[in-house]
Amino acid sequence: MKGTSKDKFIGVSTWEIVFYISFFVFSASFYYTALWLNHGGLHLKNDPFFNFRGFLNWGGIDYFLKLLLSIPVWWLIFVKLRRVTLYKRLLIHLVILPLFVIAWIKLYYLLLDALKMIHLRDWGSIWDLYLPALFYIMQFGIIHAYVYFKQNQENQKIESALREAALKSELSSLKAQLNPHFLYNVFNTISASIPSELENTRQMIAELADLFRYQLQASRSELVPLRDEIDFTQKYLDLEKARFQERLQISIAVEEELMDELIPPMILQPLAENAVKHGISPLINGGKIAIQVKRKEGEIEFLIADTGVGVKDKSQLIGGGVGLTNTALRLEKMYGAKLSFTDTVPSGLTIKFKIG
Amino acid sequence: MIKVIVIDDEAPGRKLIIEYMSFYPELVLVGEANNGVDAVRLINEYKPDLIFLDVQMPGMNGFEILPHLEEIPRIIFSTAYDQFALKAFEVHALDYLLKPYTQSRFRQAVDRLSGSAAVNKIQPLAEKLIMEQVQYPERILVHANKKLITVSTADIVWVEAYGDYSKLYTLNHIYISNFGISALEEKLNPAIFIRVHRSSIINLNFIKEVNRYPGSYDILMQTDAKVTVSRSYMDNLRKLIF
Repeated sequence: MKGTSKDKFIGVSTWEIVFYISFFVFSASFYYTALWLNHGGLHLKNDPFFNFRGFLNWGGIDYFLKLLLSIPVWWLIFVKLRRVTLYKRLLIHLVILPLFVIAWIKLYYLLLDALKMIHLRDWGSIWDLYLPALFYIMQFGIIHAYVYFKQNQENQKIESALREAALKSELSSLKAQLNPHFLYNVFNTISASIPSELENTRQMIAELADLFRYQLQASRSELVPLRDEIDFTQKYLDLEKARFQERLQISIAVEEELMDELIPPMILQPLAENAVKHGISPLINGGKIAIQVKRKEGEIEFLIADTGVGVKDKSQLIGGGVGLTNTALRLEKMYGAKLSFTDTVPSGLTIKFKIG
Repeated sequence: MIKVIVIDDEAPGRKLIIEYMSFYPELVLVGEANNGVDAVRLINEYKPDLIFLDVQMPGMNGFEILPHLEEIPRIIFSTAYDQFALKAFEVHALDYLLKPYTQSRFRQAVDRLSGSAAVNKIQPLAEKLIMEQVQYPERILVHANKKLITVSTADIVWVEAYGDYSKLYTLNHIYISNFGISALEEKLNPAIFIRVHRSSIINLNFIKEVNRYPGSYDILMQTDAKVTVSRSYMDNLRKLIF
């Protein structure tokens, strides 16, 4: 979950690159050895095994070209089209496979002719169609299996982290469990005991009760309309506003047409809470929290910006407070989406994420 | 003038409603109850137009009082339940206030009530609660003068099928019930009520005369209504008379 993007290139680690190249070097050597043995290298005095030009001719150039041609195929299937279903990508392979083989054989023969090296001719060159096709299938078969394995592992990690988080919050709610009816009745009693001039206090009590009700609902439903989550966040911020007074300014801007979109509950409010707790409350003069929800490239973009103290080491953000971690895990699990952290100018933290 | 009764087992709950009511001169408090039994007695005595009704109360809950009312008033539920718990009672279409509530929320509920399109939405629930009672219900919900009232089953002289509905004849009135005659037959105590025709059920306690003709019977009720006994239901009657 931590920001491991530093030592990775489009999601590939250095080790994976080293391993991939070694695989080609090995395949080339293996092929060369087989050919050398085939034309009697063990017995022929004038055909030494260590022979650079021979290696290039019988395997080296062959696999080097395969490597070069495999990279764009890999990029297409595993980077560009990574969200496409496996079934469709297999169909795409069917189209690419002949292209790959033809491109390879053309380049290969061109290069060998230019270097005055020999290659198979006429019907013999059928082997130069058959073997690369076989190699293509084997290579991408292995990569698919590997990627599937890695994804599976990743999913299991997320799942167990989610389970742990769920258990944690379940435990804490068990600890804090008061019968909600009791709670609401007590709120009502308090409300009634307040002089009628203090209607705004009654309002705060009602809002507090609404927060509890929403939380209870959130623990029961997977998705809620965005409207409810915004309403909940607004009520939460209203109550904070009552605490902080002019030290806390709030602005919430949501495109009206998005209000009925379904989102996971309790995904926005923890971020607002984080902004109040760590951003605004340490500052004597307070600050502002701006929440924006808009449609962007077909997805829903959430932006939570505060003008608070800001965070230097953003890799520490996730894994600490239960709120942010929980939101991050659920986004990852449900949408494969990540929280992105940037600095608000001149100071403060901006959190952004997209779902859709 | 709208006569109001406030029912809540907790005094602060009643106090808050009465306080919010004071902003509406047309709402006149005619009674308060802190339990379901008293609530039934008060409502049947004063016939209020509107009640504020708590759901959880000792003895009889807010829903359980409904089948015992002679006349069903407009109801605004006031409850600590949440929407989900209320859903279980299928009252989501009704007016309800979730505790604790603000004055503006209270105003919304009352305003909605006086809207021209306001109908008594409690009917389906009341019907359901009445008909789902395990034993034979003591009262049956009917319409009368655009009001929802209930008729004591003991007062029913006979029942006549009326399309998909039924006509209930008492000594002095005729009421229309939303239930068909077969549904009523199941809900009326067979020790007193017997089906004598495809379209009639009679109350044995109100029989004045039984006239026997060759192969058929006529029954004269105490209201002087003459009910024919059809051949296929004759056995029902014979069992009782002979």
